[in-house]
Amino acid sequence: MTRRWLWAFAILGLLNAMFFFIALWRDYDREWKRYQKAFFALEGRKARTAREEEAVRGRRYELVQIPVPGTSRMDRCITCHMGVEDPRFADAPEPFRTHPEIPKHPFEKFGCTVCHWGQDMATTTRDAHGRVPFWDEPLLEGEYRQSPCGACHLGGDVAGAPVLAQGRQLYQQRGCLACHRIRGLGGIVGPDLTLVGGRRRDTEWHLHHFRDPQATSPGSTMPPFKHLPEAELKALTVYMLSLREMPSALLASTPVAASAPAVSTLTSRAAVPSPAVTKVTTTAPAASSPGPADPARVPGAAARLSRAKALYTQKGCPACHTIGGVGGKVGPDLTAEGTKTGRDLEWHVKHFRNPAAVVSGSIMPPLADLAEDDLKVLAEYMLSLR
Amino acid sequence: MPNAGPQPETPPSEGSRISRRLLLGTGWCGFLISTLGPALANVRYLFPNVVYEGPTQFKVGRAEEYPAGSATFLEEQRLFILHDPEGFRALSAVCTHLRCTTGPFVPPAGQWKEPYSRCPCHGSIFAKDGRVLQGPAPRPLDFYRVSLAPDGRLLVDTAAIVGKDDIFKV
Amino acid sequence: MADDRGTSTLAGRIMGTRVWQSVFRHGYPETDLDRMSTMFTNFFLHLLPAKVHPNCLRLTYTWALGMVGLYLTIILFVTGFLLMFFYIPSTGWAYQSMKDLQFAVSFGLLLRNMHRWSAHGMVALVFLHMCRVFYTGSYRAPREFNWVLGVLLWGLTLFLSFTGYLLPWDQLAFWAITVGTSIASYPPWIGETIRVLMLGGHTVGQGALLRFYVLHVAVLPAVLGLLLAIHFWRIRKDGGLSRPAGAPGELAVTAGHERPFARGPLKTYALMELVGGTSPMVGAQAPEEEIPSWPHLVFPLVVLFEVVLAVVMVLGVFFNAPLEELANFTHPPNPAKAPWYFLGLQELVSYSALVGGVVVPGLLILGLMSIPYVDREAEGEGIWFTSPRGKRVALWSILATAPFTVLLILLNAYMGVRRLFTEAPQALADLLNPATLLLVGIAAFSILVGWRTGSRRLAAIALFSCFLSAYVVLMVIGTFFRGPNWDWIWPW
Repeated sequence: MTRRWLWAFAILGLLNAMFFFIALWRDYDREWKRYQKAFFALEGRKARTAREEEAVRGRRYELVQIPVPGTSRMDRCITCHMGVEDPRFADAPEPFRTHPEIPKHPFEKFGCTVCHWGQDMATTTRDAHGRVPFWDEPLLEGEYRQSPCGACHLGGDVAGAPVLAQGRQLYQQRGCLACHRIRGLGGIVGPDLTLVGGRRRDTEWHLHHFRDPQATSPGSTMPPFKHLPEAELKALTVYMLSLREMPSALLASTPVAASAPAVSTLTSRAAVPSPAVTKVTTTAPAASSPGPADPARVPGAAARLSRAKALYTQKGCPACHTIGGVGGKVGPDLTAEGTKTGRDLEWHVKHFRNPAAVVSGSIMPPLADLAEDDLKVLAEYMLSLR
Repeated sequence: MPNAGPQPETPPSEGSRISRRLLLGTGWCGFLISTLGPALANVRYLFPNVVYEGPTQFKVGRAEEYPAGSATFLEEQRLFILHDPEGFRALSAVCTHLRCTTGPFVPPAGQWKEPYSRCPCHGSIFAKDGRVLQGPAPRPLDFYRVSLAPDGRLLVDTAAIVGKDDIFKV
Repeated sequence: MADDRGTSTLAGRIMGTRVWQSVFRHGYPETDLDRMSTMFTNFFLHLLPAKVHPNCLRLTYTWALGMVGLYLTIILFVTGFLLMFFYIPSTGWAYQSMKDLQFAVSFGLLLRNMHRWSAHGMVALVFLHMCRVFYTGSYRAPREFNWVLGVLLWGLTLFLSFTGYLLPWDQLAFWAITVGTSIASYPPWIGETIRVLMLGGHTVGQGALLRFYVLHVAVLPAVLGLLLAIHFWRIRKDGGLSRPAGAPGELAVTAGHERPFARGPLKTYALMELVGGTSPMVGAQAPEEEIPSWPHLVFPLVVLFEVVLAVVMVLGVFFNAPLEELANFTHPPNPAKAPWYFLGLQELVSYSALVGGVVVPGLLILGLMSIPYVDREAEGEGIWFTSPRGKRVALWSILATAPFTVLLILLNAYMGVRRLFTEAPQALADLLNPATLLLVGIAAFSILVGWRTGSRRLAAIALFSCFLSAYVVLMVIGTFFRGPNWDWIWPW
């Protein structure tokens, strides 16, 4: 072997070894570990009881995630934002500060990105905040954070979302109804806006469009609205962004005994609890193991429930009815529908087929195109609402 | 390359010249590091950092929902919530033999003088304090730590195994 | 060589083209010499020797078990590739894709059945092949390493079957793997790590399904292919299949070969360097005993393939592979049983997980691999059971172990440690149970045989036969005599 080969061998060996160590370092030294380190230090300073101190000592660097049930979201925000659920961090600097409490919106059920947007699966700051190419839902800022509320809370005043309410009002006052239709109400001159927030997620586009429709949509006959003050255009944009598909799985319902197939809705190894808990109680002396006849343990009950919820949103029921604060105010509130006497499965199925025949004076349209089993599934859902 | 015989040695007069052995040695070290290293990294790769299984900590409802003296079987979470006079304990329902879910507790019967749980897979029998009364199970059932979540509900941590005398008083 | 090249027929003209001749350099062989020449110029055929000793062709010598194993492997590869076009390795879709194969895919049901039955067949036949090789003493030098490779291949076959077992994601699959991976977690210190690696987590879920899928369709077949290649290479280099030593021609069966073979021109190897050692030529010891592989080996091999194919087809057409309900982790079936080839193990594990799950399998593998290094005797290679005495030892070992096993189990059922003293420490239960006692009994018996006869080979025969008998008995018990709660049931 000539010296040249030897030199090549030695140098390449060194280079490759160096690349390996670089790769090793890059995998080890993660951005989120630095945030966690800072958090653990902060947590250590705040620890008062023996249990709290033990918890700090047991801390390890690890990825933490909230799987949002019924969706494919895997929110990893809390890997860095570790203090959101802990009231002790109300005075801490970001990203550790406690999140203000929103009643009835537990983290383990909603996650973060349903309301804040951003890239759920990412584990670096820039990517997680989503202001990167090929991610359409960057973190919402300012009043735009009120938009996601409107995806579920379709009617009335939503606490904490005044700009959204203003946007809804302006939509009516400024005559948008004349040309645009939302959930069946409005004119047909312009496009249907029921789901525009899912199609057009860029706030700048909306503002631009309001000011100069022809520039963003060539051939449009919509008159420009640039005479409106900036604040109003913003409010309208907030409203536009709120017009999206409602995640049906997040609708309220009474938990059903889950004998469901082991289809993995992704759940995590996070410090966050799961919502539905099945109980089989055996009290000594009387043992009462549930027998196979127990209806709550019907196999597939959970699957039927999620199908019912999907149908409920697909057919537009939330437009008129409210469940757990979500939905419109045209028809009756269904939050406790299951407790109403005299309404069994048969009643509900009949009502779906021809509402006016069952409830005199009802303006609810009949659910004509649904199969028998779909009607049954919806009826079961109604009965489950307690 | 054809081996044309022994290579000429490095002339000793050029003392500062890097020796053949050093070059070869460096080369081989580098080679080994850059092959064995990734091999070991591949082993690390195979161990997952996130798993899509049930969370290890979860809330199991309020203390009031569990009657005194009860042993409530939570099927999906695979554990029992025991409410004794002294307080609460969470007993694993995963049989220590081959990890089937053992059955709910039934009152004393036959040769068993205390309430017992029977595993359907190979017939291991467990007492309420986790002891193995019979069967191929090699160890008693584990107890998990019970604590209180910030919202006042009971919190069970299946990643924290505690002794059978570790009782959570509300 | 005789062919139609250059003639004026269409075939002749095609075969005269440069394209054809670049692919098929010689014509179809007509003489024995040409055939043998083709055997080593053709890529596929050169796996086989050009000439073969008639002893290899005796059905009652090998029962063709190795080749059947190979054919089943080929069928499994082909059916497996095809199944991959429809099967989806996701917990949400796996079961559905199995149903699709069963109901909606042309020949889907047949392919799936063929795959399943070939898999079970292969586990059984590879095991029988191992028995054949053992009983004919074919692990003796120079074939020790090939024997070790064979043990590894057997383990790979079991692992391949095990990983495939999970893929349908039905109750049968899910719980068999739950039991199996739990058994795998019993070795001290490393057991839990092994389990996490296998499952990609802590429970049988999407991680496990994906890993088992990758192992089953990619990693394990690749390793199998590699080891098989070396296994065949070794067979060639070790001088072909083993045969009894005898006077030249004494045991040779000429199998109807009439013409003496004509010596062709000798090859020259001007480019080869001179190396020391014995000639690598196969059968150099007695070339006059050998007969051309084509047709005497090749043709029976083709017929054998047809036999295997026919059996697999019949099974595939008339018997459906099982598919129970969708996997449900909240409802373990009662009882939850491992795949049939692991049921004997599960029976042992139900007495002591440590002994049944770790000690016995560990000793089994090590014991098997060490046989050729323990038995260094020279006589009897190539003869079933080595000698009449060997036959007796084997027979008695098998006949005695079966009732011994049953006796131990019955004793344990009535007077087992846990039955008499419910508070007994686990160590005592691990010490006094059918698994340990069986192990000790078989070991003692074999040592006794070896001591009394002065022959390690006979001791090995005793050990192997006892193990074989116990394995089958335990498997039968686990299959037919264990019911819900792993209680005793009568199978009728």
